[in-house]
Amino acid sequence: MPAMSSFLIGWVSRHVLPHERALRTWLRTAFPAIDVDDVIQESYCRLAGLSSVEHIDDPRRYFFRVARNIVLEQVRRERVVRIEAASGLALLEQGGEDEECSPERIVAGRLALERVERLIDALPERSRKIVRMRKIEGLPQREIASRLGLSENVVENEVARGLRRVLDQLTEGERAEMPTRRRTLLARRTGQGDRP
Amino acid sequence: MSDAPTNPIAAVACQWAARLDRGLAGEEEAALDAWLALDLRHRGALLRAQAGMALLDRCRALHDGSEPEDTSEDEEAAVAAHRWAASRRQALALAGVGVAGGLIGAAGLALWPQGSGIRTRIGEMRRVPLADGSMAVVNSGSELNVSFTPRRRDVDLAQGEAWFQVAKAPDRPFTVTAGRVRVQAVGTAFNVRRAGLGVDVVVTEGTVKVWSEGAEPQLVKAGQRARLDDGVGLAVSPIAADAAQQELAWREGQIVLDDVTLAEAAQRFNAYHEDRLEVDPALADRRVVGSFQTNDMDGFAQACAAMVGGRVERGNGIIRILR
Repeated sequence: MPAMSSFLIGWVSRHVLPHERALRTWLRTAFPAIDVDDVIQESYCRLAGLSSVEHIDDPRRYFFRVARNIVLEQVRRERVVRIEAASGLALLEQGGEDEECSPERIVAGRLALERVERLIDALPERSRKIVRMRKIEGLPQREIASRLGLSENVVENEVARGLRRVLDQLTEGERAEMPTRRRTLLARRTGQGDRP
Repeated sequence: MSDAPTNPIAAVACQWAARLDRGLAGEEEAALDAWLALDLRHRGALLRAQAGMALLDRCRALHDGSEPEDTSEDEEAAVAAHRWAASRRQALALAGVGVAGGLIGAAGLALWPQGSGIRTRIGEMRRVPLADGSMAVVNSGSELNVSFTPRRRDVDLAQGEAWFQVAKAPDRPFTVTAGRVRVQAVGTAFNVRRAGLGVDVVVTEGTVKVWSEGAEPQLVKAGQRARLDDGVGLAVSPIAADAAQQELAWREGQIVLDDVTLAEAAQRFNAYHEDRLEVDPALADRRVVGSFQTNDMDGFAQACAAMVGGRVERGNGIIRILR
């Protein structure tokens, strides 16, 4: 299987990922009965299969359409069709113009990156430190490991964990955006503790 | 959200993204290929994780002074912001029109002469305050005649459907006549619908007396319905609160479809529109669930078409949903 093209990765990073949160919200409203995670996952799968993105003028709309088609395929397989779901689709087709002018679209660019950086800063202490050293200061993994007296494996795991948390919070609703450290404190206070 | 992975595939994908980021060792390449081959979804998850990693990399630009985004994208964003603001303004302007329309409607109601008829056009739904403080909400295509005297309050439902919220006046009974059926209340709320020769009464508050001409009256309470089908006696049966809510959704300008066929759904819409909605016989038996605005026949047609992979055709006042 050929490696994922770095061009495609960059394109998804700039033009698709920032809209995942809006897509999730829309899916949840329009198709209350659908498994949103599953549809999102399948959408990325289809993007991964693209051999070129030159024909895509409006990536956000394209992303929404891909997800909508996946939902439709699922809906059509069901015996009883849920129209509330379908009324969401009608909205997508009619309201497409408004969709592309949503606030998410407007805060593309620097603001979006500042938001990502805030999410990095909200990571648990060790993860935050390592992700900053690796991604913002651009240090090699080996050097971070020796500076912090950790194994390379630990550093790598922290980068992976940090990435996952940032991705989760970037693409989920407001509730999930509460700073992690504060949540940990709250959890300790209520005696639940933070899971490793 | 806890620290536990919400999606195990995403967690593994992030791990691979971290490894790819520092460079794969020889044997890891084969392991990655094996993982990707295991499940088609893995490739999508890896793309997402790597895109996330690229986003983290771009944060560096916030610190080293380089411009994180090219200007064309900023321009695009500015244009989008402008268009968004414009569409908001448009929406607000439309809302203003709505308010003005509402005021005109209310003024019209206040001047409604008592003792005469109330008629709604197809697609029209009207709230009519009555002289005694009662309220009638009259559904599309209905006709009512109101005649109040100091001793009686009589309403004749000549056709269609109306919901009544009756002001309390124990010595002045409020009686609705619907064909051969009489519904009498003192202070209560109920809905009366005529369809062909049948009459359907749903009580939403208090108790009413219902009888068919020449028969004994029956008490019907909130949470019950009384039906008179053509040639059959009056039948009283319970109605669940949510079912009653659905039946009366028309007062909010809504049609609630709960597991009905597309053909029935189209019929429900047709009661509110001069235009007619027709469903391809091949699709007529598809069952649907959902709720729509009564005035959104077009939206309904498009949603149906999208759902079944069909198309919508318009002409001569007929909207057809075709395969």
